[in-house]
Amino acid sequence: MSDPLLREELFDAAFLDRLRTLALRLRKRRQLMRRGAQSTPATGFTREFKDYRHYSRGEDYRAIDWRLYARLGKLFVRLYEETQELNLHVLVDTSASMARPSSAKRTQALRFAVALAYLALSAQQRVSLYSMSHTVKQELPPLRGQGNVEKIIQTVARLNFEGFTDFERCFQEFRPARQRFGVIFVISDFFGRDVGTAAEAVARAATWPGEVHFLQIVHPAERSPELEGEVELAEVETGEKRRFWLTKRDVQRYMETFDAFAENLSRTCASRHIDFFQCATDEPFEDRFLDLLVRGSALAGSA
Amino acid sequence: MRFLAPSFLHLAWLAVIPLVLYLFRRQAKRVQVSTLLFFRSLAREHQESAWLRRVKRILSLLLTLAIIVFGVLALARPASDAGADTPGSLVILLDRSASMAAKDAKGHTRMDEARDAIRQRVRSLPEQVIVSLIAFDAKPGVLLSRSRNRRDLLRLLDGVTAVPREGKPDAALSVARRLAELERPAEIWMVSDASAASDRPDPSDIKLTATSTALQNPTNVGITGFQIRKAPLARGRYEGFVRVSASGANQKTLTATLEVRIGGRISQLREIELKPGDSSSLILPLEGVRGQKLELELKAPGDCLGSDNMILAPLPELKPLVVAWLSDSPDPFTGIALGSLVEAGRLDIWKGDSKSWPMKEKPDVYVFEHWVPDAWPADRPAIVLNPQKSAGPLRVRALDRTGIPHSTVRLVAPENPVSFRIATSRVAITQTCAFESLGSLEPVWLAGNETVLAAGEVNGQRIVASAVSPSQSEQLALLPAYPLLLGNAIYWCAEQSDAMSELKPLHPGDWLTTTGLVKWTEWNGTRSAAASDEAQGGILEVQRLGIWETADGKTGSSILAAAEETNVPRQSTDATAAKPGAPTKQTWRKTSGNWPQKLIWGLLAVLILESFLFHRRAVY
Repeated sequence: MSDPLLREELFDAAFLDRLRTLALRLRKRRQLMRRGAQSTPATGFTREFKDYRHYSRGEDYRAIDWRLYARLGKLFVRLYEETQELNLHVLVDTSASMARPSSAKRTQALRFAVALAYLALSAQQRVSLYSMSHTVKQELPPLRGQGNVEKIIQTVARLNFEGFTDFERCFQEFRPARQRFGVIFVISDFFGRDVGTAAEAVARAATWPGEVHFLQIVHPAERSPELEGEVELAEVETGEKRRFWLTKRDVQRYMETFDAFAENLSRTCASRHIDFFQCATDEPFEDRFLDLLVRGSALAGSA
Repeated sequence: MRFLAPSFLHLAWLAVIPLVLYLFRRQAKRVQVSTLLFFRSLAREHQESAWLRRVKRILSLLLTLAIIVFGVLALARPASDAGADTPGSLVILLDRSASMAAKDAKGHTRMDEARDAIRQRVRSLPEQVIVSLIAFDAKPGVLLSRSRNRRDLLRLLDGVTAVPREGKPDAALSVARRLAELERPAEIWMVSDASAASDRPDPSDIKLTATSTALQNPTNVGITGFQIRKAPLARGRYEGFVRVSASGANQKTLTATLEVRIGGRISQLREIELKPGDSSSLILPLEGVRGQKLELELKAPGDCLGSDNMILAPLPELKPLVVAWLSDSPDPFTGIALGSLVEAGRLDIWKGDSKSWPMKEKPDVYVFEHWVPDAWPADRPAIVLNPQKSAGPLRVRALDRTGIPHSTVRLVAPENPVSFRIATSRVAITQTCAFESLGSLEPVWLAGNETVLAAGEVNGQRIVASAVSPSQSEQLALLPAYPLLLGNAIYWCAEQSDAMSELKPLHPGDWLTTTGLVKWTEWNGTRSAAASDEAQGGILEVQRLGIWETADGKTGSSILAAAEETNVPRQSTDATAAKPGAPTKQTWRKTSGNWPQKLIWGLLAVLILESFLFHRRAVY
């Protein structure tokens, strides 16, 4: 059982203010960038012309562009872009490895989750929150409106970080409906049963309807552990204990293995058009959050 | 079990270090990690259970303790007691006489065996035992005096080699006893191929242990006597006197071949049958010119000692002895006697009187008759016949002209070379003077109570003095005794002269008076080789066998010719049984054991096992 997270620990008094400021900075940065750089499936609030198509029998004849018929003598129908409501799905890994031995990963993960939710709520989009360990569980139904921020904060503060992460099962069970098309953020350390588990699960995530982002939260000690000599290591998720005699050379090999794991995961995500973003717990949250959004999320475009 | 170096046992406290390290070892750090995914790929992982780890840790401790214990014990050099008393000091007497060069079938010399035995014994000695080393041949040489330094001892021991000299252990035993008395309890340990020395009565209560390194079944023949002399009645020719002997330890009668080579060419071959312990003498005519190399080589199947098989000698110059006969009234019978020697080609007589004195050229021997010079010549030997006044070491009182007749003379020194082969039974003489004092001269003939013939050395000068006038002694003058007496006297006096010295071979240990470089054609027991020595301070101690040549052209030979050395002893089968408590060679090997060696092997085995377990099998 992980220690309950205090609200003040997750969000201090100035956090929401900083989040608002962050949203403004994000908007300003977006305006400075070339318009249309981000490809979004749903933009604007009204019907706008998109394209022409040959008329087919049975179609609404009101859509026929008669001026074009006058010029070309062929029937074309006008196609309009459809304004669609954006859904944000946030999946937070609640396995034990996210909270122990250091709670920094949990804090960082929840900050990202709340910040993303706040951004979506302030843009009048729907936000769904899921917890993910041995199975995936919907913690909050789709919420809309900025007033629900508090509700989201209370929910994440109550999340219980226990057990292990079964990516295969979780990614199989999580399948939003076509109506819930939107942006999906998976916030996890992606440590599975095996080194290749997360990479294999990426194939399932690629089938999700919408834009998928993998956000890996790691602790610096996980990448370069300060261990030497005889150590007894206990895994927090399974309780498994192993003894090792570690030398500096071993630690170096460990780091190489860890980097290879992250690199493999990143490459697999890229091949499936999934965005992969890694953030360490000792990195400044606000800078990394901005970095995440400017990578081309539809969420950023709507802010 | 005892320890030869017990001081090293203090190092056993080193075993406390691994014990403390084991008892206060650092526990494995327990660390929680979010995942073991990346640790599992590391090779050196503990995968065994807790009890197995504990067993391995204890095993590691035991191996470490075993290494320390083995190492400390090896340093302390354990040895079995076997009831042997440990002496406070040990004096090692090592025989380095010529017979120690005798080889067995494998080519090992007796000296090699002796060195091995000493090394073995020294290794088994506790460190506190004081050791002295004396090597002896005809003379003892103290190589190491009262030292605990085993390294020095072994180094000196390695430097000891057999020398071509006779072995005389008595003087060495005397020195050894004096050394042993300085530190009690003491033991004298004599290592030799001869066993007789240990049977000598020991006046002190110091334990004497003799160890024989003699061969079990030796076979040896050798040349035990040699002399070149001028052939009688043959002007310009030499003959060689050779005596060959067989060791008493020989199993059977041997047929030895004596090969005579002059100038590299074989001139004679003689086959001699020798029973064990027998000797045979030969006279060999030698025909050659001065400077030619004479080689006499005795060959026999299975001969174990080479140094007594060869004689190398230069043929000397045919130079007669020069005798200066000075007399104002020479006795005719003396002239006749000297003339007979001249006819034989042996002498060259310079005749003179008191006016010829002092002589410009020096003869080999002076003969003064009825006259002696006022200034006694001390540089040459002298024969004084019938002196009428005191001279040199002689105090003489002249008698009247008629003298004192004596019908008989009595031979009181039959071994004196001057009286060699002279029959005195029919000799009647007339004494013409009386010796008041002979100094250190030895009476040879007595007539009544008076000395009428005396011989001896005074300050290194050989003198023969006679108080007899042959012309007045009818029977002496007519008998062959007088020329024989005169000839004996001349040759004995001239024995050390240059003319004679070329004929007389030297023996190792003799002194050669010369300066500068002395060149050798050396016989080393197996072959001839060139060598050289530097004479320091005008004198050189002869240490080789063969032909020597000094810088001023003098040549000569050095030979072993020692019957004691040729008589190579056989190892007595009950020699050790006769001396209870005397450790035999086999006992030493057993008592000294090879404990340090075994412990070091054990230590190495443990190290290899530990290395195998901890590196090959990855036991941590």
